[in-house]
Amino acid sequence: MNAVESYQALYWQLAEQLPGHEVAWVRAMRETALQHFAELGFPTRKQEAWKYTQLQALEKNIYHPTTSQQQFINNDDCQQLPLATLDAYKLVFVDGHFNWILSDINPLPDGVVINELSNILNSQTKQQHPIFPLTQQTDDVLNALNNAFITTGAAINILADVQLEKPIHLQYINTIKNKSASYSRNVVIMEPNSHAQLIESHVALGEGDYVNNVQVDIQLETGAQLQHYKLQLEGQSGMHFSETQVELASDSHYQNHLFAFGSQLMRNNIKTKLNGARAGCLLNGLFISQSKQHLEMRTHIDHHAPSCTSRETYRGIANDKSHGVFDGTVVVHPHAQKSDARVTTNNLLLSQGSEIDAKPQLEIYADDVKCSHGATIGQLDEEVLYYLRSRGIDEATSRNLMLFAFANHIIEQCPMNAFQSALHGLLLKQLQSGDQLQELLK
Amino acid sequence: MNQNSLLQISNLHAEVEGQAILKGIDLTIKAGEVHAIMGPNASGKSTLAHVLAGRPGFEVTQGEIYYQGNDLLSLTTEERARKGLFLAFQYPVEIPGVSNVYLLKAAMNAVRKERGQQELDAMDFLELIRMRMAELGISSELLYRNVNEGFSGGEKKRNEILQMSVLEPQLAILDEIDSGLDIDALKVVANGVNTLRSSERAIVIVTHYQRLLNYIKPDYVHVLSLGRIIKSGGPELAEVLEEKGYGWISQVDDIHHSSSGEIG
Repeated sequence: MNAVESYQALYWQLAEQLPGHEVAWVRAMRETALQHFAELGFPTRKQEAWKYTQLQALEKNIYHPTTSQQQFINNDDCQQLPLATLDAYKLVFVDGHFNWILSDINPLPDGVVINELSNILNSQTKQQHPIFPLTQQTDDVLNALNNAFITTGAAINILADVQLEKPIHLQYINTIKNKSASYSRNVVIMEPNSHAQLIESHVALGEGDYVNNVQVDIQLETGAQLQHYKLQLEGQSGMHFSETQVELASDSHYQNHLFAFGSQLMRNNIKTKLNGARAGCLLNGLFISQSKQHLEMRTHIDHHAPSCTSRETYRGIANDKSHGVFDGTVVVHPHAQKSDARVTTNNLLLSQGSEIDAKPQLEIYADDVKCSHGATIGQLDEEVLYYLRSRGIDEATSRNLMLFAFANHIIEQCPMNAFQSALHGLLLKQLQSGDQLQELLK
Repeated sequence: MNQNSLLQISNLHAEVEGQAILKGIDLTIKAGEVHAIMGPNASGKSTLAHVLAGRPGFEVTQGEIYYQGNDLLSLTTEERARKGLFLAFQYPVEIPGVSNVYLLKAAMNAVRKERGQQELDAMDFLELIRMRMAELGISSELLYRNVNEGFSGGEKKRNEILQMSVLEPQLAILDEIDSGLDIDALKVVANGVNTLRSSERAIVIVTHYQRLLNYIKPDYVHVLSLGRIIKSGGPELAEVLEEKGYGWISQVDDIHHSSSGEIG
């Protein structure tokens, strides 16, 4: 049996335990996805989209979907985790299963509806639930696997004109010890002129070898605004696969601020469709990779309508033998006149063995547009280092100060202050003896 | 070595990227003195300044430097700074993302720690900085801007003097601090330097032109040419240079050479 067949067999073995197994449309959805997965197969390096990242780890070992939370954790464990204390409506998922005891969303204000996904899958409706047309089939093998094995997630609906003050925090905690996988999907529908902030955090308790496969589908209706913050701090043996698909109607605005520090392997994919006039998006990201981490960040922005704006800045720091990839494509379609797009990526290599591939791409099929892209890969500026040292600041602190400043360019663009300060703390932890900077930044 | 000297340079040879720049410098500086090092372009003035500050890649191939009685060359760049050696850069470096106030605080804490002083609390620190900025006519807005980023030439030079005045060095080396300054800015900078003159402190002014020396009176003037000090004297030497130009020195140099040839 090859790996694809093994995952198929696994599905049939577990089918009766997956949520919605008694609901016809859910089974049909899963089986279509499984079929699609088999057709796609695992990617090879020859495929352009998989030039830098391979999924051999998923072929070599078959990661069983978790059927329950694996270890007990209490509220105190939970509070210790990064971002846990941010004031937010919090939904906690442990090992791919919703944990209602650790979650805290009550009381939700009027105009906000949150459902746990397994409830939707299990609800005995004859027709496909309306949020599912959002979860489109894509030609991504990880997305297909997710659709087949999906167990949990949040379905969030913000009604028209609602301005949600407190953010919604989707906290993913992995306690997995053996080779298991969790599959979740979140759906966010923002009705006209609604405003919200969404935080997604992925952290681990323990050192397990696991897969966290998370899909997020977001729909912004006219004039809606969403700030989406994501922290990927998986365990050092964990794998993080994520696809975020965003559809924007006219005058809506989406921000995504990604911070990727964890996991041995990450592939984070953001697909943004600017479908209505004057819609806009801001996609920012920061990764710091060490030891043998492999972190890939992909973004794809489609300008389908006129007068839309897209802004994208990704920064990366690679140390040791780690590998970072940024692949950012912007496509301006024929009718998308007056499009304004900018993609920038700046990267630092801190060691001989580290590697960063940066690929900003523009495809422009309209003639009245303003588009630019730029990429830099370099090392810390020796002139600056000397200048700092000549002021009495030791070499390690000088380097850290420069790294902090480089990374902070992305952090300081987060509009949410509480998230910013939490990220400053997390950034210092990523830097070797970064705590020395702590004093300075007070 | 001379116990009274703050800095003693003997037979200093240094190279940069394999090219010999300094070819036997001897210079002794005592606390309380102000020395001017003058010379045409490519004479090695800036190289000397950076060798003293400990710039990586500037390699000392021969000779010794004693500072406060210790072997300066065995100290790292940052150790030299903490022991009170300060170099004001000819081309101050821009540091993206690091605000002036961070840099000043980090530098001051490092120096105070070395001196066994307590770190200043935030209020005292800001009060001190604001006072010094006012004295130097620096807009307080520059405090929260990134170091030297988008600063005018004059602002950058004043910013160097600000750092110096805050760090209170024992040996201040000013590398072409006058270049690119108009006369008003020059006076402000000179005033900042003069305020720092004291019997415990020595100042080395590296300059191409005599102009700055009208405002900061040196005790000694040295003329550097092709990596060696070819003439030393009092402040009057600068005036002669101003009048006759460096061409006069090379003639002196030629005479010096031919005369030594005769003796040899």
